[in-house]
Amino acid sequence: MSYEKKPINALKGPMNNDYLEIQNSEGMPGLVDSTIALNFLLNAKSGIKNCATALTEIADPEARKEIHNMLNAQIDLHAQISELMMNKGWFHPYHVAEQFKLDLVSAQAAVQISNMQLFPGNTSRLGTFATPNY
Amino acid sequence: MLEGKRISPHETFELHEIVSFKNICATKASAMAGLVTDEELSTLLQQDFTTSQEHIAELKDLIQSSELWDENQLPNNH
Repeated sequence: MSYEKKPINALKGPMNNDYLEIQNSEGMPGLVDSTIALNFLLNAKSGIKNCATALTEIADPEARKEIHNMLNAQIDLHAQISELMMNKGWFHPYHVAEQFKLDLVSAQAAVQISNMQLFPGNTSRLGTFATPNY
Repeated sequence: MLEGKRISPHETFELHEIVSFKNICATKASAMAGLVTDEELSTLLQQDFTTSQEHIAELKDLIQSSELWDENQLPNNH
């Protein structure tokens, strides 16, 4: 796949509610992947923070060793994710102007998606599962 | 202190917090690995899923050695 060179296209126009029109999904794979990658990165980051705080509260040597290993694994993971995002052009830590441009595209996409009617039908899950209280 | 139980209550709560977080992360990683089109990102997510599973198993062992752990209170399949 060659979309690595052009990761996130600026949104061409406002989204409309025609999900089946292939033209409306232009640039979406890059946007989806970068969003998921960013979420993954933030998760790794909170994992590191959680492990570090837990480590300051735990005295048992075996538990400490375990949390320590997890902390190291999380830090490595964070490095891997940020490196991948930098290679793909989804993350510009050394180029703030570029990063802001990218953030703007994501923000616009988020606002437009929130304005779409994604679930026009009845989405009630009652009846799908056993819900004895209802 | 009880025989063979090493982890104190407040340590157990910390471990519990990490386990909950790890559970969410692992579930999310496995779900997102299928949604992503980029292969590198997908392998990274799957890799995180497998390491998270190992970590969760180890944390479970630690929590089971807690003072608060009572096998009789829990359902059999735990």
